[in-house]
Amino acid sequence: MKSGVRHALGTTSFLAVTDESAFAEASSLFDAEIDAVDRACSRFRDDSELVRLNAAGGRPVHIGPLLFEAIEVAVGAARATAGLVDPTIGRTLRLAGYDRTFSLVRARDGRLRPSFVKDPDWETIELDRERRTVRLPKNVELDLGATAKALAADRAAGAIFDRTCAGVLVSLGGDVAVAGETPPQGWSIRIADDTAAPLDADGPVVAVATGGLASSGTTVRRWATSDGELHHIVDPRTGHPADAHWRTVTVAASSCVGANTASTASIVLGEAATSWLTALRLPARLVRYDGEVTCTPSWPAAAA
Amino acid sequence: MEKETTHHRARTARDDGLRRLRRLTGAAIAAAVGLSGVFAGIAATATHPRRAVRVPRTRTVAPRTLSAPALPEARAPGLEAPSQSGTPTPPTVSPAPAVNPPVAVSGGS
Repeated sequence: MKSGVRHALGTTSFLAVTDESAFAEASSLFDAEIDAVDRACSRFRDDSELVRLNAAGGRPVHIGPLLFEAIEVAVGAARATAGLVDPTIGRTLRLAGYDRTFSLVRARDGRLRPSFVKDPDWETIELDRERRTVRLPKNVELDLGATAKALAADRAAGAIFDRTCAGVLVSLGGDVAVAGETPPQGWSIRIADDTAAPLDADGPVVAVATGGLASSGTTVRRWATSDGELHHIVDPRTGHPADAHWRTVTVAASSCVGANTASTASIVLGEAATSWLTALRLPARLVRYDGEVTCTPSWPAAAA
Repeated sequence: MEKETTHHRARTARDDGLRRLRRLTGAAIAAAVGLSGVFAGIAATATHPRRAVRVPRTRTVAPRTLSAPALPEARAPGLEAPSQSGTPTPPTVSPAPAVNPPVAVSGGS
């Protein structure tokens, strides 16, 4: 097995393949995928397609296939969660102060005065697959942060396996996708509050063999404002950061997008998330703010 | 004769005074009506309906009465391909307790 760590999409990324000879090609594919997703889906690059779409002022915009796929995935996540994970929170995040790369947001002095808005929801997004156009209502801005990283992980893992036939694990900020054969006993992954934690940090370790695993948390991506600290997971029903019930939620699913959709929705849903995840038969581990851990029945008890 | 002249002067002075008083009263009423109009105009501008609506439109926050989402239909385990609906489905193989040391970390970012 060979692996490497790098910085991408504003977070730490990790690539591992079971066949060392495939690593160079896998790295190229991984970098190309990340770069393509960043150019299509970033809210913070002046040259990104998403910035152009968000500035369209209510007009339909012809976009590339990758951004179209990312928006379809985001709309699918919104539909599946009854709007708990909604891409139309872009303006909400911007007015709350998350209007640039997070390292710059975090460096602010806390005098920023945030405002909170509740915009029209995902059902107002008009997608025309035949013309590959998207129309957003005026003043609605998309943020694809909840699903685009996971989509990039799924796409990269799939592309690497298709091209090299090697087993692969891709992690983008803790959003993990695997494909192909696994090392003996599976891919071992440490679960922590912060994806930047070292491999020997506290926390359970689980072995993953298929699909994806993702964690959403409210303790890492936080910034100071004149109204106090805020975090980046917005409750689309209110326009405010989600109530602080869960500190970290980790979910395994058949894809990284599915896992991230469920973990993000669980943060927003709060206490009811455990029964929701159980009904979906998703393996999940949820950590409350006071440190109490709850797991769904399909999560390994030994890794609680 | 002199007494009659003095009486006439006093009457004339009284009449002049009454006329001045009437003019002053009329001017005061006219000024009061004018000022009422001015103040009414200011008050109307201050509560113009376009302003009254514009402020809450940017500040209003939806009531924080939250509804739980309808539970998506549970699916049989073992479906690997992501569903078209976007509903998260379980992995073919559930996570297991790890035997090997970890190669990656999953957490908030």
